[in-house]
Amino acid sequence: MIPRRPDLDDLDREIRDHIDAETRDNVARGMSEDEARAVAIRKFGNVTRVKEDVRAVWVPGWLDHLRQDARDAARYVRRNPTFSLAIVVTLALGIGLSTAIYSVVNAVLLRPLAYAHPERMVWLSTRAKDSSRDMMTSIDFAVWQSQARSLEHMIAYDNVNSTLAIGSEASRLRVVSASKGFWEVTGAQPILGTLPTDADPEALAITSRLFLEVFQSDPNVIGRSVSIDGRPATIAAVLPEDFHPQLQTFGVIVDLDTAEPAAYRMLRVDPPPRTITFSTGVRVYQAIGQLKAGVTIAQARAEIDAIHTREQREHPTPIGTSSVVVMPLQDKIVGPSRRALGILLSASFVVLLVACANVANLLLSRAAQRRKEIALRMSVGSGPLRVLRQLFAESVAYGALGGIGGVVLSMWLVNTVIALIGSGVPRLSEARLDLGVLAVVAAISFATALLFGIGPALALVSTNVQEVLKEGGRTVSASRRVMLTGRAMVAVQVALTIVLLAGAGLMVKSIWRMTSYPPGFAPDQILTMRLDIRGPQYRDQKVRHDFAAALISKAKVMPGVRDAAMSTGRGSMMLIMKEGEGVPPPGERERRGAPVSSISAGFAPLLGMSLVSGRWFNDLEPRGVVIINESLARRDFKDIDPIGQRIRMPYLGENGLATIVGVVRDLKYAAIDADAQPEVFFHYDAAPISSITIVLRVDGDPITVAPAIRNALSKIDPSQSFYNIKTLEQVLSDSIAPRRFNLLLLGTFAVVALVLAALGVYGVVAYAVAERTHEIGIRMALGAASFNIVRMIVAQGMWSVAVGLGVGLVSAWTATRLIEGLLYGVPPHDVATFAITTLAIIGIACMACVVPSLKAALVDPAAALRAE
Amino acid sequence: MSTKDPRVELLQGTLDLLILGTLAPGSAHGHAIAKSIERSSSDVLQVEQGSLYPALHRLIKRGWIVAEDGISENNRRAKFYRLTPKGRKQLTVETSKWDRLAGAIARILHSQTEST
Repeated sequence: MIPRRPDLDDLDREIRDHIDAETRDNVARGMSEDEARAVAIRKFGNVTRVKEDVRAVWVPGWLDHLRQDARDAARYVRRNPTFSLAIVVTLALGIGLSTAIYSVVNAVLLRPLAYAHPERMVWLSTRAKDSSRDMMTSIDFAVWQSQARSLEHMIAYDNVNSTLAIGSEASRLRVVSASKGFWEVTGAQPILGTLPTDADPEALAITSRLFLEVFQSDPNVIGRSVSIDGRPATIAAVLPEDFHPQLQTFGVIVDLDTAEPAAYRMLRVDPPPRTITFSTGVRVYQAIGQLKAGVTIAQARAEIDAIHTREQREHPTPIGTSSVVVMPLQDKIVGPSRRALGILLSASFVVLLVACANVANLLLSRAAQRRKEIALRMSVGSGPLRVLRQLFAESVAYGALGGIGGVVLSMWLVNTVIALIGSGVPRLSEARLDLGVLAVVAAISFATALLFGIGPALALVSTNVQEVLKEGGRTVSASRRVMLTGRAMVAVQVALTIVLLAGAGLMVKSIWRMTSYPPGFAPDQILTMRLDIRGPQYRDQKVRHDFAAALISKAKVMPGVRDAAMSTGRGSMMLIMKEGEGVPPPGERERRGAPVSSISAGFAPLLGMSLVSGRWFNDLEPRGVVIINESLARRDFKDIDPIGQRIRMPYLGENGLATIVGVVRDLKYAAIDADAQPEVFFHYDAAPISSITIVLRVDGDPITVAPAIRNALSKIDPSQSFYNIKTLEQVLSDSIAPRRFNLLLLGTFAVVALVLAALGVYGVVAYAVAERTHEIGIRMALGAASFNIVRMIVAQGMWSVAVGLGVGLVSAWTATRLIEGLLYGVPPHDVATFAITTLAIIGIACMACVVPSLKAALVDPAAALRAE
Repeated sequence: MSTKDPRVELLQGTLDLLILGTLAPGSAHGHAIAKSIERSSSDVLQVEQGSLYPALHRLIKRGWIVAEDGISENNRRAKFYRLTPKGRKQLTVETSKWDRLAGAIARILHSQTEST
């Protein structure tokens, strides 16, 4: 049996009773009341010590000490709210920012994909030499699949917007169709039902999210009939929550839509015909593969390259030649984000460094101020160990509070980042707070707080405490050491801050460059709506063209609409050859491509393109007429007038030739973070159409008139639904969403670093002023003007800023080269940006110096001299 | 301390033994224990009364005595201390140990006074 501790609160009463009883006994022996009590108390001994000794029987000394230290530390934190807040906020920022960013980077770059064998998954595609777009035709897919020995599975998929109708309710969702082997490579195990097989094209596997949000987790959902784009389908399985194969659709230019798929079904890839014409319907897929165990990616690439080269030689197509792309799926998915995230990660650790420097700085100047107090307490009673223990407890308290703040901040940040751009960056939505890194970052911050919290006191232990007391706190040598360390910290902070600030500045300028539109281009006045022409009634191309024409002419006469037109969006790349020109040699061929778009007559002028020479289309255009843009004219028709020239356009013109009737000025209407590309336009009547974008130039706010326009146009054929109704400005803005995100984060880091650096400068200067109050008093008593005092303090404070500036500018000059790829229209060494950054830092540092120096100037000389 | 003072200061650890001995007949509260020790040693053993309490708590912790709430002779709530079976056994062990020690010391001292 473990002895139970009696209630120690009873002890007081017990002692009181004891003394009372003793007093009574003494009175009984004949003493007076007062004497009796005095004798009783003397006989009992030191009550406080008795209580402490009793307590010590039960509570080990260290625990008691710990409790007391914690209490003392808490009191110190409370009594110095400004100082405490500065330290805690700094620590929280440092810990929170870097942990959140690392968590995001980890989710996007470092974690393996959710596949059965993520390391063996590859992205398979072909790419025209001068293009960055990947394309997988059903022909290539069939050939590769039947011949490649290095692949265990090869899966084609497409991921399209579809209308899912459940009963009378329809919604637009992404539906992935994937070919045989998909369930094997993803290792999917349904939580309900059985996974569809390729024998059943109508069976649907829905995601757990759709299951939850649309079907309220009703287990009877299995077997429910729904319809996809008007075709019947049956729900066969529900996928687990962690099913997340990241089947992005790459290469979409205008329509940046990265919504998560809601359902999956099987795709049957029919063997395609050998001879291809435009109307044979070559399907375009995306494809992934799983390497056989032990096969390297280089071996697979070599094999597929050989297959593809042989195929192109034996069965040439009019599309032109292409090379193969075989790369790790992970790289394909996260590749574009890798560099930006790496930079953000570095930036967040720079902020952590600045934060640590700031904590060190704050603690150092605090230690210098408490020097006398600490020395006194070390010499009087408490002893050095007790004082060190208390300082340790204070540091731990700050570390803990900062840590808690950091955790809260990083959780909030991760959630905010996901909410802001979760769907814009691959895999980001999977981001979770990374506890491992949180521990490391918190340990770094803790170590800083401990080192600089206790270090100065430790230095005191080794020096003679009596000396410090004799100096009367006006010590020169030690405070100079603190000052020097503090100034070094400020220089480091300034240097790091300028790197961040310069980077952020360059990105701001990039975005500004991107969004400064040429005259005549008013994307905020243009409404765009997507429409996929679907259904059996549109099997005939003629009907589709008539439908499109009807939509445009109806839209044109609607109130508030000034003009209407359509485009099919930028089409595939095509080799541009002039009439009579032979097929260029392979080396030449690579840079002779241009995307070809089909448009209605009014599209180009509606957007704001202006005619350089020739004429616009009209709606009764004969086949075989094209308009080109300036870039193409410059590239392929250097000295000749392109008007009237004929270029080879397979399938389009008569005899495969098309006449150039107009040249338009370059306009970046699709993506604003790339330079204008050579481009060819032809009238939509000349080719098949399926997905179209209606563009409308409207008066007033496009979004307010959008519903009316949509309703009116829907009446023409209610079975067709519009989606992605946005202003063109919105579309363009979405096309740079990842850039704006980068800017947002980098900008936040830069501002945080700037604030911390300003705090650091302020702290050091304020400390210097406090230290020198006496000296300033003498100077003023001897006739120094307030202005001179301010100048002296500011000049001394700005010294460390200047050193930091010098180092920082050199570092920034090197560092901004690394973000060159993220910039647009701004050189990495943009002088204006660097100048503004430098001025900003000087300005803010000056302010941080002036405030405490004004305080110095207001010193009353007499008071200052008396102060010590 | 003057050598003429007839009172003897307690040896370390002896107090514990005295408390156990005092509680052998039955439970008692703190003041009664102090009184009893003083009385039965005819005031030769002088306890600084306060030091009784840490000693009591040491004994509770060892499981030799327990504290119980009770009513004192003048009708006030008080804490009474009582020997546990373990404490009683300890008292026997300690008493015989003490007797042997005291006997041995007495023999040594007496033989020395006799030889001189």
